[in-house]
Amino acid sequence: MSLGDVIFRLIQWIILIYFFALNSSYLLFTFLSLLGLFRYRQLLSYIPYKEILHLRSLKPISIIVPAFNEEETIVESVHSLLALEYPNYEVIVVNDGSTDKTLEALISHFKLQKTSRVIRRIIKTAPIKGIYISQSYPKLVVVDKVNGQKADALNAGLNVAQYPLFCAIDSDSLLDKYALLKIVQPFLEEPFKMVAAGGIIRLSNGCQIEYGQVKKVGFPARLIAQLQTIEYLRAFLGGRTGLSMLRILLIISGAFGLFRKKEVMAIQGYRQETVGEDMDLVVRLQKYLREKRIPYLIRFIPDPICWTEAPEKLKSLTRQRNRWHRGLIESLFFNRQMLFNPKYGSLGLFGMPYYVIFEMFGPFIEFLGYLLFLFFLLIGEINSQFAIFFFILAIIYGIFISLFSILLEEYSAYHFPRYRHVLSLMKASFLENFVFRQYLTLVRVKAFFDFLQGKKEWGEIQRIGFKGRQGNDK
Amino acid sequence: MTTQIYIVLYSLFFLFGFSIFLFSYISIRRLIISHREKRNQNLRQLIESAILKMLTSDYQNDHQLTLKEYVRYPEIFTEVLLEFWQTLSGSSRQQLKNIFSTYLKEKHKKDITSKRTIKRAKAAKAFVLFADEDEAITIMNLLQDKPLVKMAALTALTLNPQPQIMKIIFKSFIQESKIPLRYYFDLFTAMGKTIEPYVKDILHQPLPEEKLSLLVELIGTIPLNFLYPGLIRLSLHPSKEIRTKTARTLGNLSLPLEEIIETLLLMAEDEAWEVKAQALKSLGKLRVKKAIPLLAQALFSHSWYCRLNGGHALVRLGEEGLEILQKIARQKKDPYAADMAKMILDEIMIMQG
Repeated sequence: MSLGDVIFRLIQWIILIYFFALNSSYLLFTFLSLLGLFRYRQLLSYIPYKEILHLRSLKPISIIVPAFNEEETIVESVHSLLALEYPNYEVIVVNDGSTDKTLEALISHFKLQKTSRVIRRIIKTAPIKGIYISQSYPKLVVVDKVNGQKADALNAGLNVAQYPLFCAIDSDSLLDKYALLKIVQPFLEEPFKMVAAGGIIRLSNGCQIEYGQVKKVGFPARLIAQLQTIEYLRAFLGGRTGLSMLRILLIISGAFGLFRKKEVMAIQGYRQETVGEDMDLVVRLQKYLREKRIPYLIRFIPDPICWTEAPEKLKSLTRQRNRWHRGLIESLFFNRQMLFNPKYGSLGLFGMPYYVIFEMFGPFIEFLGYLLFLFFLLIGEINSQFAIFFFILAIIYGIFISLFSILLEEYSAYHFPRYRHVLSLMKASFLENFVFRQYLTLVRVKAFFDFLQGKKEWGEIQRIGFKGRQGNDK
Repeated sequence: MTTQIYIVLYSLFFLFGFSIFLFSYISIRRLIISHREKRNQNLRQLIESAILKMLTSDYQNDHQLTLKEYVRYPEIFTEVLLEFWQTLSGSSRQQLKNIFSTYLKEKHKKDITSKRTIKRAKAAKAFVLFADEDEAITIMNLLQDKPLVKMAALTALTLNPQPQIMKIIFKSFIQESKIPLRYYFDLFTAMGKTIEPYVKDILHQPLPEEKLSLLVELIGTIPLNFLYPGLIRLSLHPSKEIRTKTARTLGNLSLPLEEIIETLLLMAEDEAWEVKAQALKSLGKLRVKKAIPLLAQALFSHSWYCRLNGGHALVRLGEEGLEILQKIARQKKDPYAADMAKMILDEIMIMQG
């Protein structure tokens, strides 16, 4: 056997071991999630979440909504937030220097008036131009500020927030009516230790939406959104529930998370130099708490739902995934001293390495695998039967995990109502592994190089908006 | 080669089989759930009407046979019984207790020793409510169980607030180390003023700060007005947390008594800004006119919260307070005080139209 052959065999084995290790970790998380979901549902059957509404120990929540050029959707989003079931909360919309009529839409619709509110600038942000309140909607506060990116807008919201818990959400997302009541539950169970909780993000594409609430769960009509549906189910119901049970959760989606304000203020809020401010916050928060030896808990709950619209155009999807991957790399890079550092416990020894190996470098290994497979197949240097054999097995394993996440979906609060939706999900589980997965791998590889070049763009994502979504009943 | 092909074929076959299994499982599960929901709804109505007939009839034995039919559905039967228990009072409750003893007690007794926590927690509530006196030991054992079961037992105990039971609940609170104390807070607030003598008793005992702080908060939330002398004593507590909560609670009691006002005025001079800020807020809530100079002075404080609470307290004092706020807003010596006064005046104008 020549040296080239040995090297090739070695690379081949590394790639194959990687594939199986990755899928096996997903499988482990999925099993854990199933266990977690069962436990959660049983507990819910004993303590109905609606009873929480009447508890006097509920802490008030500030909902912070950063908005940039959202004139089409902002009014409906704010309306839906003002109609949430929760006894005491405020909605702080931060207009981050929009160039369209976002602020004007808010002022005219909610009859806002400028106030000379004095705020404590604990975290430095771009200048605030004005703060608006409304007599008709006393829960609403609108902050108008000079553009400074999402993290800056969230920090401005934090400075204005007056309650001990805050919930960061995206302005183009919709919260389920009872989402706050559900997500606050861990803070009631562990009032001193709980510092953050994340809820599930589900796709609103295909759903029927009325008055800012999902009235009927539907399945997306376009294939690109269908494929993302299965991805979200796998990532949230499978991945995050499992990671949370292992106490190595490093991300709470920026679209929906509840945090204790005191600790977030102590670390100066969101980092402004990253496009992955949500992940970075959770990593830094844990770093800070572990350094100070403060006992803490961070939990993912599979029930509170935030509905968001998945991009239906390939260009938008590419931009979104590029940004997500850059954000992930930035968060890992900025907090690299945690990696393999026993000072940070399971997070440093297992959580961070997992994200670095499987999430950050994963696309490279996967992409390299595809490239080598094609290259050697073309030049005939390969033991092609062996490679094809493992390639097919890896794909079968991936499909199996996706199918398994459908089972998780069935046990979640809002499952797809029709049998044909289940069949479509199964179809998406198969199709996702061909072309779509490879394309997203390529996007993430490119994101790595964009990170190296210091790209900080957010990238515009084209969305249809919730207004008048009739849902897809097919 | 052949082995590899077989493995791939087997894997594909497995995947195909799993897909069919998954779809069938989901479909069957949905059918069963929808069937069960319909059945449960019907059963619930039938049990309700059977219990009602039994409660209102002079010939109870006639209806016993009907109820016996539903012993096979203990969960729904218990749920309906508990709902009746919460709606009815007096002698009807004794009848419900008899129904429970005749048809469900044995099942729940068994469940209480079950290995599954949820099963024990579910059984605990019914068992505690309908238990006889000789079963007190079993109930006491439930209070030593896992937090969830203990919480269920405690919830049930609070629904029957006899003096002996109340003593058990408060003893459990004093010794508590597992259940979040917030749970007791919710239990106690739901019980209202009935807990006043028990809180009074333990307020004098040496309690950990966390528990004392919860009791202070509780006094203001319900509110338990007669316990204010205890709070006045706590205004000198060495813990800043306790003093802050005491200041807040004294305001929440809405009792403009001289003793309380004097205590709050002293607390408004506390070394900790947190205590000061709360005392200022409470003085505003009690509309203490003689606190006006102190409140005006608070607007020039270094603490943002003292300035804010001082300003809001002045608003609560009406015309006189508003005039002072306007003066402070116009002065140029301290821009921080002026900004705060302007903001408060501004927001009042907007919110009150």
